[in-house]
Amino acid sequence: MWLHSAVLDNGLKVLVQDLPGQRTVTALLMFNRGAKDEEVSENGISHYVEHVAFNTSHHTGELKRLAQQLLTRGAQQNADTTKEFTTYYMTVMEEQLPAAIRMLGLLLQEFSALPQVVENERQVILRELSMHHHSAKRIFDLFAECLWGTYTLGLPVIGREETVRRITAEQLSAVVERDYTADNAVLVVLGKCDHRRVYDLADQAFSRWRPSGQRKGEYLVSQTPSILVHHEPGAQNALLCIGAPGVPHGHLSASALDLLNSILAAPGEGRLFRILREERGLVYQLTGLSTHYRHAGAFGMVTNCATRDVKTVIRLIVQEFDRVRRYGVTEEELESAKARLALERYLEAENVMSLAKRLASAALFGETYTVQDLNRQMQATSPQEVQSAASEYLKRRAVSVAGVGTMEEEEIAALI
Amino acid sequence: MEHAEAASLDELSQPEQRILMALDRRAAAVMDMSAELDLSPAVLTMYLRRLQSANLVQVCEQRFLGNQVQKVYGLVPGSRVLIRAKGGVATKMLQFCSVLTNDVREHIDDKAPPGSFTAGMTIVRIPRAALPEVMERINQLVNALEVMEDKEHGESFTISVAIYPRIDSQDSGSEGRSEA
Repeated sequence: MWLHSAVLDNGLKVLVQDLPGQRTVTALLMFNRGAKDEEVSENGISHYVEHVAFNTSHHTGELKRLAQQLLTRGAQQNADTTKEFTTYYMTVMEEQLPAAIRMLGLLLQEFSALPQVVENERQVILRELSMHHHSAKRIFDLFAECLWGTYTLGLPVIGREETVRRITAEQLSAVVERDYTADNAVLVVLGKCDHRRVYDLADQAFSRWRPSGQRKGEYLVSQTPSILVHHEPGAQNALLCIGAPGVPHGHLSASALDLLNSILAAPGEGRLFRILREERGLVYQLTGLSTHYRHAGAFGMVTNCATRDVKTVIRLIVQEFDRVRRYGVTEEELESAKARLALERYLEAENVMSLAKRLASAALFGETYTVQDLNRQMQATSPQEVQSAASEYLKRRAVSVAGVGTMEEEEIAALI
Repeated sequence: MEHAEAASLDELSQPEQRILMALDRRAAAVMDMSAELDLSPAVLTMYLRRLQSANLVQVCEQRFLGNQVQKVYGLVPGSRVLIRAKGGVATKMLQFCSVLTNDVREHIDDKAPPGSFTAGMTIVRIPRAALPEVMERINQLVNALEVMEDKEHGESFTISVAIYPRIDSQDSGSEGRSEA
């Protein structure tokens, strides 16, 4: 299965992989545009653009016809925005591929921020924001702010209520004009397809799209570890993320930290999972966080516990960080972690949408993704490298804590 | 920052005050101050965030190294804080300053009699629903105090009451809790 790639005259990268035996095809358009590119005053605008672009009620002409055609043929379409990228994608039966590529081509080229649509989507996003603030996911936003402040990677993808209320149609149009350009995007097509035909279809759909000619997607990171608590008076439970700044994508210690994360947090086998849940009954869930962005990374343990147990949970997690720094990990622990991580990565690579996103983000970084390369690097990691990474990145002085609940920041400060 | 009694400030151990004193000497980045004050970067950043929201500290310079930005903190020019009380009261005094307008802050600073001024402070959180009742009771108290004013016998004291919404980092404006 060859991965074919080409670059159109306007700078749009095109990646195509024929997956034999498939009847469906997935087409994905990813932009190097996300919360990392936003000003604080416009936080949430990338996500807002995604909403407006995908609102079919304002589509006219060919775009409307294509949208109806694809929907009546059962096409699955969606979009998502992350800290670094915005992605529009659809999965269709092979005969609908021309319509799918054509529609992806028109979505942003014919972007129109009609006042009625902008207002409608503002209400939708405010609802989404309200749901988000009541979900456990907010701890990830809080931890990002804890590590990077209210700046680029520290900004929440969904934005803040005050900024979402203020964003105007003119601002949306200006952002699309400036950053949603051919040379800041990649088209990935995976499934039942021929790469030469996809190149032709992409050329027809995207050739009118002008490049910006400017380098996009670079950003600065302000790494300022902190303690940050969102007070929730009367809460009987607390959400916590205890961790530290990690390493960026491609860093030599990235695999070591990924493996250490698994050694600590893996369900059933992770050290902290055993200590916090199986031995002490303090937590229900423990999730490891090991993220590598282009210019920064995050390492953490995410959990929830009763308010009365907050101090104990934080103390036990920090103690385990200390223990790994001092005594390292065993060969057996490391081999298990490698097996778990290899399985997770192969599962991801065997999911067409996940694979397409991996290929796209790597292409926007100027790299090529293969699960084999990723696992080869991981398999070569030694116990000494894991201990060394822990010593470097999980020092007491690097520990940061984000929490939601009734605890006070000073109480946490005294524990780390 | 003006402070009449540096020696008494030195005796205070609250991190906010040590940070203010360090920044009074020179502007500094978190990593520089962390070693000097023996506070972890996370704890230091936590206090700096509070001092920033109190408009006592600001980012006065940004240093760039590759894709990393390092913020250099300094005192807000002209910020004047008088801290004479010890222990928890002094910490609360800083929190208090964070909600006073500059006019009131200046007023306290200028008028405080040297050497003998102490401030008693209490910070309490109250739900929005209780606000009308609290306001009413404070008004009753203030009205009762007004009749005690004795302008002819020298030293008098001023009571300032500040009620303001507590805005947590993740809070939306409408969901912010009130703190008085």
